[in-house]
Amino acid sequence: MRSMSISRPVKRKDFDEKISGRAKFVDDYQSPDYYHACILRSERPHARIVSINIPEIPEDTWVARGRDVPVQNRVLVDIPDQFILNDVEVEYVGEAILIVVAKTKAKARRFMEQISVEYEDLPTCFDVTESDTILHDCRFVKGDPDKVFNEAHEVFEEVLTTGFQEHAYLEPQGIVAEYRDGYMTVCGAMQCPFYIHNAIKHAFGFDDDHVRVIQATVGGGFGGKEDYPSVVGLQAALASYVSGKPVKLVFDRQEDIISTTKRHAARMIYKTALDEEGNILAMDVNVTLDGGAYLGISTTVIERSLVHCLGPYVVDHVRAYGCVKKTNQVVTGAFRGFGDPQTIFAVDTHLAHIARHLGRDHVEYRRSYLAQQGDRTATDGLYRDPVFIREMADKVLEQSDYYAKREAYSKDTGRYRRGIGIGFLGRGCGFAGFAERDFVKGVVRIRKHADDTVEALVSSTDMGQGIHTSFCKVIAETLEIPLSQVSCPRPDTQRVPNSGPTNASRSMQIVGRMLQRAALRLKDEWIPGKEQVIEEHYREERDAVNPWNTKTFNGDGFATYGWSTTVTEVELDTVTSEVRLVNIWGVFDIGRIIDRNLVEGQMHGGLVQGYGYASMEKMEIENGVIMQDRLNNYIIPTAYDIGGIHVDFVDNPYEAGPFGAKGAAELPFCGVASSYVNAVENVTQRVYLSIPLTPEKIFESLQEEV
Amino acid sequence: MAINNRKPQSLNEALRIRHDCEVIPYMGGTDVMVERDPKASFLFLGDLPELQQLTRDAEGWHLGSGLTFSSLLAEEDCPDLLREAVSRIASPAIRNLGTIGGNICNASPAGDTLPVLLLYDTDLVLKSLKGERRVSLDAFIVSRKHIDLRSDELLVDIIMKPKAYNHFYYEKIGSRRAMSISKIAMAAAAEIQKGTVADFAISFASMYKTPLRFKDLEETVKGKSLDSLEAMKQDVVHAYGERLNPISDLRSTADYRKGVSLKLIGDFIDTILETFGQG
Amino acid sequence: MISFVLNGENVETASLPSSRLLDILREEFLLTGAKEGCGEGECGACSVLIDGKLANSCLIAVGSIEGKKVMTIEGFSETERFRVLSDAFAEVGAVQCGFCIPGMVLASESLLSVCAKPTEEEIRIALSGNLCRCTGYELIVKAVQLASERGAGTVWTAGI
Repeated sequence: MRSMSISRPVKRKDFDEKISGRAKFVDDYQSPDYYHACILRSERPHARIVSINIPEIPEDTWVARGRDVPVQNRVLVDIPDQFILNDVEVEYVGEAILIVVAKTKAKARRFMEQISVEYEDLPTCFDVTESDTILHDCRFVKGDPDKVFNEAHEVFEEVLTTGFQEHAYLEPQGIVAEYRDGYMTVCGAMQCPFYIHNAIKHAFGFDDDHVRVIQATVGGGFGGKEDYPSVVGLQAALASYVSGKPVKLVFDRQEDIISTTKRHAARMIYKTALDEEGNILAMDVNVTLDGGAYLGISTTVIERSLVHCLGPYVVDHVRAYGCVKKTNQVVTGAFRGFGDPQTIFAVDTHLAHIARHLGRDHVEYRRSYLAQQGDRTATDGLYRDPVFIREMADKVLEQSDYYAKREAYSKDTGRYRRGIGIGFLGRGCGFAGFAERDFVKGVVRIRKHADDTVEALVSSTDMGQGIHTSFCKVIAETLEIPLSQVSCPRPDTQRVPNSGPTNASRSMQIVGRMLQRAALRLKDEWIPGKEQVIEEHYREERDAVNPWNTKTFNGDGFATYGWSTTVTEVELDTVTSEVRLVNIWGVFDIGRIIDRNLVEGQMHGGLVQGYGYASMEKMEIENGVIMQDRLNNYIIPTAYDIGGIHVDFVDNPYEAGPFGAKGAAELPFCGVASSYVNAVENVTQRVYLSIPLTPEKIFESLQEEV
Repeated sequence: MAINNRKPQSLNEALRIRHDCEVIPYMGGTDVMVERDPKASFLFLGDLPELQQLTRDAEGWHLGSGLTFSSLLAEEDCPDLLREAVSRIASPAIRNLGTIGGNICNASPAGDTLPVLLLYDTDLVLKSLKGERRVSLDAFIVSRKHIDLRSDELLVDIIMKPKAYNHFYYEKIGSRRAMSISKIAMAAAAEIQKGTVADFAISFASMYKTPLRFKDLEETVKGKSLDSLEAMKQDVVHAYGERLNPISDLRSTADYRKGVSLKLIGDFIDTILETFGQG
Repeated sequence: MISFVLNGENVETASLPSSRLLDILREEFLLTGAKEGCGEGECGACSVLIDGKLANSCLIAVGSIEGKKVMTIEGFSETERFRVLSDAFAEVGAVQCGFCIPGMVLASESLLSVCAKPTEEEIRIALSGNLCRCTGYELIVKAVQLASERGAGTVWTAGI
């Protein structure tokens, strides 16, 4: 039972400074020495810049251009890709052209407004179906789909689509940079300090010791502060490099929305081969993601979409192809779930539609294809750990009183009618394949001071999810010392080793495990009153059953998997087609809970963000211009939009995770959309293939006869 | 201190400044501050006691233009339909700042109080040093963000005329349940006396560049029995369908706005029949 | 000069009356608890109390608050009511990134100060102008309920 005490909630370490308003987010850093930067951005979706007319630059003002970057004017993430500043040929509205630095933001803005740009428009593409530029593609085959499709009784085909999504972290992006005496220091809103560290080294030609990246308190990330802060960081760094001043670059909300990354809009063609009895024989999946103007981190996103194209279901014969296409639109990037919310929505909805087409109960039908321990994944890997998704389904069906409600609601008449829906989900935890072993090669350090307090030194960032508190718990529990004796500072690349980025729900499972191992060693070697440092490196704790092959996309895609099932109860206003979220239930398998409050908070937040994605978060880009570019028209849920949220867990300790924990934070997000659509379909008895499922779409569907 | 950006102590002082200087009247600030013009010269009117009264007399309700939405909600005498509309505006914080006068003068197509005010044939009293004039709300709102207010005038009094309505209907359709700019706002009211429609009125916001009310269509219903109303329901809806030609924008589509508005009209008539009908 | 009462102290500013109160608080008085999340009154991160009522400081021209009482999270955090709210937020785990939290706390206070025992619906409406992207609001609502249970009749007395 001792190991369960880890789940007992504690007060998070940063609570007092946050609740009292003392926590310093990047815009809260103030100094009379600071200068401020403004970025001139493209107004055209694709154009050659013929000329830039800059009036005489006043004293104490600077203009930074791409050519001022000493080594390469590119942002290194996976590869050197986007420009830091682009004054040659802009590829999307909002692309950065140049930077103005002045003593105040108002002064910088005033001067920027006097600069004019002459453009020569070039051909544009805003629709992936018309784009002939493939930024990246991948494919895999399992079994013999060609043969099975040829022999099938019937092929059921659908095209499902999902929209762009804005992270809408409450804190806009920003970085403060200071270049002094050959050293570049940047501090600000970020998930991955070493991404920025690398990007600055690459663009400026600095060595490790001349670049220092420090995380400020971060006001929400969700992936939005994973890859994009490298762009902001480089821009701030360049502004300081050119001006010789400490420079603050903080976006306002509109600038943040038009220029930072979005979740990829997706178009997914699902073809399913069925036999006479309606059994699924094979699937053919074709996924196209809208990458926007540059590749960014889309390579990994499309790979993740594709690997999860079957969601939690098991099908023996699969052919899958995925590509990211270029459009002259804002760049898409990392966002909670990272490519799989799209295909998980699609496959789960598709299976429910097959059941409907066959006249079968969609819950039972989908359930019969849910994975079990020992089944093979889409890529022919093995579900080697215990899989409780069927038990979780029983649990959520019972807790939500699903069947009784479905029965009762089918008799609803009158203006307001209720419906209930369910969704299922399984997804890999952490990075795919051998990325941890071969690329990340994470390192953690634990420093015990002479006063016997212990510090966790990691590059993982706390952006609100509470991971620093959780890390402290893992260490305190392992060392059997009070939590107050353990701390985990915000990362500063000068003090912490590179334990990898903060993404992919990897922090607890991978970094937490390394910290646990380090703590175990420290426990053995503990000498009271002595300063001690323990360093741990990543290592594979279990051999893959079917080792991942990057070329063929075959094998164990992930070390382990997280599971969830979500029931959504809605109320449709038949006059207005508005839908109210009455209740949402989620049952989750995240291994073992490290702090119940923190984990519940993640589940609630993910469910509500997923509800927004499914229902109201509409982002339309017209001729390259984002229409919903402010928080009054990009609509995220308020407290009043949410009914009851009910979360529960199964305890399924993961043998290679700290205290049995595995990936958690993305899971709740990824399963809401199919559950929500299923619930609305339950009321309207119509079929929907697209999210966000807005009242406008529901209204349109209700104009058609069933 | 500059002559502009003044916080006058009395309405007369405010009118004097308004006459002498180029100033932007500032009530709650919730619209003018979004524009973020640092050089704007504001005339701060929000706290003038003369603009904070809600009174009732034979002429109707007199609403001071400086009444915030929150203070309207706290006023016992606030007409119910207006209370309903105001309670759905934005958020508590915005309701603490925003004013009824500001909502009118901002002349947003999505001004949520406007459909209710139109149902009460609201008149506005505009004051200047030279005197005052009275215009109907309908005439005051010329177009989107464009009002009939002279550069030396201030809106001081909002007069909602007495009505004998005994049936009310209000729907705000936003993109979410709170903190939302309307896709459609519809206010409707009727007076039913002894099985006859004595009065009938419907008004919309967010459909067009100005709020809409079609009095000629309302006339076709007045004087009709409830039975006739039931029989002519589809014709009434159809007649509105001929007139409503809503916009498409980033919040919603013309089809949705029109289709849902017509359903709301039908639902409004249904609620009359349910409330006052035989059954 | 514009004078007003800031967290209980008489203060003056020489800024333009059209300046945003948010900027004055953050840049002149170095009170950075009020945040800019949107700059147009949509997110509530800049919430302050003006004469005890919740308001978006990004929508307030400082000239309009001449003579009024402004309370920011820094001032409120010195009060007994704050302690009750803070303990409740801590106990249920209502805080994640923290960017919205000063505004949430002030929105909670502005509700409880006029309605010490609110219903869940009243709480959700009271918080509806304060966006949060991390928590799904569930534990914030629970925290306000818990604070109400503990503070109604002692630190908050209205409506009971």
